[in-house]
Amino acid sequence: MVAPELTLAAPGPSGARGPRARFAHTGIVLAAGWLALLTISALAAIAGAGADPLANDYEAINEPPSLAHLFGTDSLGRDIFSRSMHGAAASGLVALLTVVLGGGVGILIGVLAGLVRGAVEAFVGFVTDVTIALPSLIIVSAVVTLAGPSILTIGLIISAFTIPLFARLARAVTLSIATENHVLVARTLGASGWRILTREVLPAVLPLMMPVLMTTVAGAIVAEGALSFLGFGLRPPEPSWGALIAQGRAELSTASWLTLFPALMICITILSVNVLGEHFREASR
Amino acid sequence: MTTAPALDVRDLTVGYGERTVLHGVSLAVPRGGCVGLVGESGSGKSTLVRTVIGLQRQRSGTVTVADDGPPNPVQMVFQDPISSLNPHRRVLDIVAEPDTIRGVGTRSDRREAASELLARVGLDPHRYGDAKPGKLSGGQAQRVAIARALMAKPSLLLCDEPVSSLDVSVQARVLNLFAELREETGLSMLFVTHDLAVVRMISDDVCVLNEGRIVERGPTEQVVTHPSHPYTRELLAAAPRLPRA
Amino acid sequence: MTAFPATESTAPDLSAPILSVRELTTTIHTRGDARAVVENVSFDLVRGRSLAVVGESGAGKSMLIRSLLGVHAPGVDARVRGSARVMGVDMATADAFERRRVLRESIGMIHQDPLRSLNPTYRVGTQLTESRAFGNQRPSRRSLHRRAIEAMAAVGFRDPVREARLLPHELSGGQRQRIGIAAATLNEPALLIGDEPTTALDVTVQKRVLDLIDEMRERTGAALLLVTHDLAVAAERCDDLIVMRAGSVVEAGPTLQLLTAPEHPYTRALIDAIPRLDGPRTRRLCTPTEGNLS
Repeated sequence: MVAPELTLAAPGPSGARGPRARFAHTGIVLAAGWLALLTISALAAIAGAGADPLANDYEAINEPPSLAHLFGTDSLGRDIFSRSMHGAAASGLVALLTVVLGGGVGILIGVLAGLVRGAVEAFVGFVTDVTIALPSLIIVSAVVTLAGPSILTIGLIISAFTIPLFARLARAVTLSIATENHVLVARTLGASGWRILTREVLPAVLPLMMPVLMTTVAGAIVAEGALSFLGFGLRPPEPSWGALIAQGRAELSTASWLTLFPALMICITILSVNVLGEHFREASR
Repeated sequence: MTTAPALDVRDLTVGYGERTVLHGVSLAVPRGGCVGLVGESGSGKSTLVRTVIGLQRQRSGTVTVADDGPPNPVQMVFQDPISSLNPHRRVLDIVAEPDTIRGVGTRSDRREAASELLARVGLDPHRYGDAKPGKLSGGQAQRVAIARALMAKPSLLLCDEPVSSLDVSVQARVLNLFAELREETGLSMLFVTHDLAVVRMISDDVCVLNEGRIVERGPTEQVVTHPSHPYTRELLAAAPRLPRA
Repeated sequence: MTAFPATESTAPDLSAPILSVRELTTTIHTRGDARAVVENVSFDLVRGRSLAVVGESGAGKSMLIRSLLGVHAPGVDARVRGSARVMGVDMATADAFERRRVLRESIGMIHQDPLRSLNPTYRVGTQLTESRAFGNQRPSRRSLHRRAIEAMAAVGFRDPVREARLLPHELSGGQRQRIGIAAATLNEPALLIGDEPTTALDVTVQKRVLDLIDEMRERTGAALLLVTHDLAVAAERCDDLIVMRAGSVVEAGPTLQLLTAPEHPYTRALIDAIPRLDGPRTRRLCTPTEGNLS
């Protein structure tokens, strides 16, 4: 006596993977692998492994890539591989701050605005509109000029500019989730605001935010690179991918490895982050 | 106090801005009784539902729910069962939610009670207890929602088009379940629907709502066979019918 | 184009079916897995007649329509066997040009959700002229507009000149569905297909919309293929009935006979599962179970 309502439920798609799915799967593994490798290398570099990124070696000036210097050396004989890994640490810090500060604070503000509505929502809406209208590049350069160029300052200010982005999107997503009946039921059961936030709303909002989080992290890494390239970021001799590219630019024709390797690092890293973001976007559907 | 009705709505007037949606609506659901509220879209039935559960403030009039059990005496069953279940939680936890929020018993007590209720509404707790709502059909999800509502031991079960989105055979099973629950537990229900035939099967009394006013009320059988208001007659005439065997 | 000499004959054969479906089977292929969603369905629909396809969700009703039209959702690998001829043209094997011609000239579709099937950025009058403009010869804008106004008047708009300037979201559900009917009947197609056309509507509005469809059919002589989950709607509006379940035809026949003396237990169970307004009051509904389905 099995009821048809049980048996008529459409069978889900089979577990077998087609070539396209396998391709996507390989991409995800490669992207995650690259980011993991980069993280470990960057942490190791900070911990002191490898060559000193600031040590000049006048015996080895502008040397092309070799076993001793994987990515070659620059005009002061500094090891580009080591400098690239320290640059990765700088980018990693910017990425981390974007996730924690931009994503964390932004999503929280947005969800609250969506749930509480009224004056809170109006205030958040006004502040985000104003922030988005601000000329970010000019403000960043002004702050860096005043506060001095440290990677923490740059990371903080870049991630602060992503807060309204997350807040705005989180608010929109929350508005639709808050009208779902299960949220209504929790309210009629007398659930606390905290419980509704953590049990009913956030689990639905977060997966939807992941792809945007990834794209924004990629954007933040590029922004740091661009700022450093323009000279508003880390000042020489501190290594950063953007600064490395800027320094190598003058010697592009004679020592292309100075720009090539940091540029490759940026490209592969951003590609990896976006591949993961796309994966989350697909998964959240 | 035992003679007080499960739900007593008196002279309820509700509006949004300039527009008045309900004009002095009165209705009562007796203890253990079931009243059908029939209306089309724009009749004001959704507004009435929202006002009864406190989502909408009234301009005047009162809504009184018998309050002799646990807090939050009104529980709802919605038209769209999937959206009424949190997709990230498991069925047993969803059903146990009312007791979890009130802090009744231990987690295993609550899951035990939830299992019994799942079995009561016709779902095998071993098979579906740890499933997530995404794996359920519409009819199964509606059963879970009903089990959760029963868990809260409500004074009034407010059903808002609970079978409108279900297939005929699933609708029949859920309606039978409502009928059984009424007989066994003495549940008080306000059954909001657009379908007079469904009301005829499930409830003893009916109120017909049109443009924010109750235009006709009475025993369902009498209203269906001898409608007095032109609107009720129009509703009955418009309802498509099957030929008699 | 020599495959169907019948289209060349001088006098149209009025008794020839407008829609002729033979052993239609549709399988959906997903990653090394094939599932039949329509299985071995055959029927004829002749001029002026109406046929309802009823069934619960998963019965294959919408897949049947898609197979008939040769239009499938993007990314869906649907393979159709058998034939579905509309005015003699097999929609499954016809080339894209021929299929579009039949879709344009011979078929009018009425969808379930008129808000989704109307373009939200076009005024309803423009919408109606647009549905005509896909044709080969382009009539003048003025005559198109006049035809749209006439069509709106024909489906009961009181002030069509004014109402033609409204956007779809400014209309009520019933009004939108009347625009849907006006668009579907504008070309006076030989075949009207209603895909749950009144499911989203209130009963009183449903009655008016179904009356309107009947009226338009009387005017043009179009045949109607009505796909619905509502057995009672099918009973009131259609000459013949096909009951589908899990992709297959369970039972088919003249509506009255099929509903008053069903042969298949599933049909019987489906009828008994519907709450009624007439007859003795039932406290329990019969429910179809595996037991009486065999």
